[in-house]
Amino acid sequence: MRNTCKLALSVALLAAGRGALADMDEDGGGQRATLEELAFCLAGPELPVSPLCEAALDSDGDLDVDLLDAAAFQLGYSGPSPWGACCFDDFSCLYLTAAGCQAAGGGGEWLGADTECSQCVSAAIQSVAYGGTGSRTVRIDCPNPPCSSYGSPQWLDANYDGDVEDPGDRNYPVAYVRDTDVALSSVKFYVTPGGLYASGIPVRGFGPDGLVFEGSGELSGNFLTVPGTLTSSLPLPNTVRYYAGFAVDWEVAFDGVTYYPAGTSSSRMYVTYAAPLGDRLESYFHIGTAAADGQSDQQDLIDAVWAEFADREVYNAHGQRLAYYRDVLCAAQCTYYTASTLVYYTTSQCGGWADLMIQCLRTQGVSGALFITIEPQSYPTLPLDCGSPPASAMGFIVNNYNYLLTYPPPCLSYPYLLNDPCGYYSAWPQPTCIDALGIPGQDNPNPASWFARHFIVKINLKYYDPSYGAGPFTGTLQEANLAWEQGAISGYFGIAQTSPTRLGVRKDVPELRETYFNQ
Amino acid sequence: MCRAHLIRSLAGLAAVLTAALAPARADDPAAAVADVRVVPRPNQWSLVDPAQRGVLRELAALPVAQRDRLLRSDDARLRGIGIFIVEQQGDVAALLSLSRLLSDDAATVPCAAPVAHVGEYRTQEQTVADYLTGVYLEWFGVDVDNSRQRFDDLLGPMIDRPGELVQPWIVRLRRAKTDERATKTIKEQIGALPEQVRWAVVTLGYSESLYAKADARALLAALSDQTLQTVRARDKLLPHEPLFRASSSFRDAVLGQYEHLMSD
Repeated sequence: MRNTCKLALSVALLAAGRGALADMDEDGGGQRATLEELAFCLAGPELPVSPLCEAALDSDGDLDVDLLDAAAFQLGYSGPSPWGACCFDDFSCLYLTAAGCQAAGGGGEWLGADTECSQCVSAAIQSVAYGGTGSRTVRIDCPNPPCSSYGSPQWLDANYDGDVEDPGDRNYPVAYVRDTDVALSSVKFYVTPGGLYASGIPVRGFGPDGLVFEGSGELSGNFLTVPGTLTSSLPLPNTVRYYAGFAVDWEVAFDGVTYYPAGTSSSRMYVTYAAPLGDRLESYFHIGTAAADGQSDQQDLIDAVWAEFADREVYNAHGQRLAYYRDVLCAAQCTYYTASTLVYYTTSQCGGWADLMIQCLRTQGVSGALFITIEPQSYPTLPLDCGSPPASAMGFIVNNYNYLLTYPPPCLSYPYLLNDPCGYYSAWPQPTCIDALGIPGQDNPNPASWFARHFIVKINLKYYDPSYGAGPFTGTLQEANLAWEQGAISGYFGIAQTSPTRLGVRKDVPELRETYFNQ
Repeated sequence: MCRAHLIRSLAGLAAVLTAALAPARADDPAAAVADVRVVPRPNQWSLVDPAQRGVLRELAALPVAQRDRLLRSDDARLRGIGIFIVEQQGDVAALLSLSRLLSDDAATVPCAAPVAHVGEYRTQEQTVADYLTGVYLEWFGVDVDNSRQRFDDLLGPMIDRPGELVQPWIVRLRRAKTDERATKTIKEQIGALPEQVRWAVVTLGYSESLYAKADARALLAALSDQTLQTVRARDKLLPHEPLFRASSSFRDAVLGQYEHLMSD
């Protein structure tokens, strides 16, 4: 009984007095006795104590050593705190002196002065696997799908050093459909000291947006393993969400009562509008989800994804900016036509850009985006060239070009003399259609501009040109077509001379629709 | 470096050699398609090497029995060509019967790659399921994503009523655009559709510049008051139309187009 009383008083003193001790340090007060002595003498109000105790610690002269005396003692104490964590076999802990810890029984182990109870047994999150019905596979960017999936567990501190930056560690992205539960499995903690065994140890994790994960684990050796799955207390928000780090702050209560921090697992998480379609590459998730963060309406989502393309600043999941014909003026020198090659090699033709917008929408579960081909119209909308035999226009040139007057032109229907950037055709000594700084494309102020055709995207009856960030073009197909053409096309080229074969250009007529959209 | 590669797949070469060694029989569909190296992406013929275009166009005339033998072939290349022929023949009922191939992950005849530059034609590898998904998107406007489940969800309710699907009428009109007589026939057929299908076909047709504004307005104005009210209420229209079931924003866009068309 006496010991229990002493213990309680010691703990109360700790709660009340640790701040006071700090103050004493600042004040630099004198030291009359040790805390160990105080703990030994501390009995309580009106309980008899030895003459030595009374002499040393009964500061108010009431013939006992109680909390008032202890408080008075602290006012004069400036030495290191002899209190520290006393860890018991049942994983409980009290702040006691070494002697108090020894006297308390229960297998108490005193960790030393100024130690914390959290040091009795420490746990650090070691692995987390993401799953559940709303979970979706994220595939690693690769040029030729199908690409490999990221493995599980997606978060792994393989060498238990508290981070996931080392070889063998994992910090993989995860994806969910909005308004679904997050189910975590393979939840495992690295525990020190080792050699402990217990079951039913409470574990909990606090994630973003109020999501809480609770369960219990089995302690064996150096590992606390949570069997089964921990399902979030709430579903994910009912919007598209991009979590650069879906951070779960973990806690473990080894004594079943008091939770102590056990590290943080943080994974990039993409929450999509609907169940993803298509190849589901990481960069498709990244571009669409980051752009549409917070959206819950389908058209708002499409608008937000488009805004990401419209500013001509698009990055893949690894932070690399994506370009339209990077460093080439001859289109044939860029041989990437698909979204997967674009996000992998970071540059592509227009086909890759159109595909990328479509794939980003598909990954959000938005279907119906169409791949649109644009070509010059045939004769008689555009005249025949001067080839042998004469043929319709071979392609178009995209703004900007400078034109010089020449008379007489070698080909009346295609009167301006063009040297193509690929050198496919013989060069004119004095060309009169000169490539100038172009309308900017994605990460390229002057992209290739000599084409047989161009590719854009149509969704919900609107047309978008992601290569240039242009659009949407609205109205009927013909109205949208003309609006696109007026903003993009400088002229049309065909054969102007057959021997040697040279090219001629005719200027676009702004009020006429001389290109066509295939749908 | 790039998944696309110049035409000449080994499978195609093997087919050519096979055809050369064994004289083609008139009823042998494999022989009929021996020279096929590539199929176009839907409605994108200009991406196909001109040398292949004639070969492909001839295939559209392949008898149904031979076409169906291709579709049942053990050779994935032939199954893909069979899909191409069904698609070219515009046989909507046959297309809807092919959903089993949505789980067919075997590589088939490649499709034409979307090359923008002058003078080159390249191909792109694809599976049977990839190709069929693209064909379904073209013909029905919905992305079934190589999934029979999605097909069943979106197109399943319409299998017995293919004539009431909206998008096939748009595809037919688009493909007949340069043929006045065919266009007239198709528009007559559209005029005979149930009103709740007709308004959507005409509205989308106008959007694609397949109907002149005055013609579209006249056709829509002729709808019964009940249908017009239902359209304007944006409610209970074409509950099984996959275009609308797959995308709420598409439905809103079509309704918006209708209101715009009828507004002045």
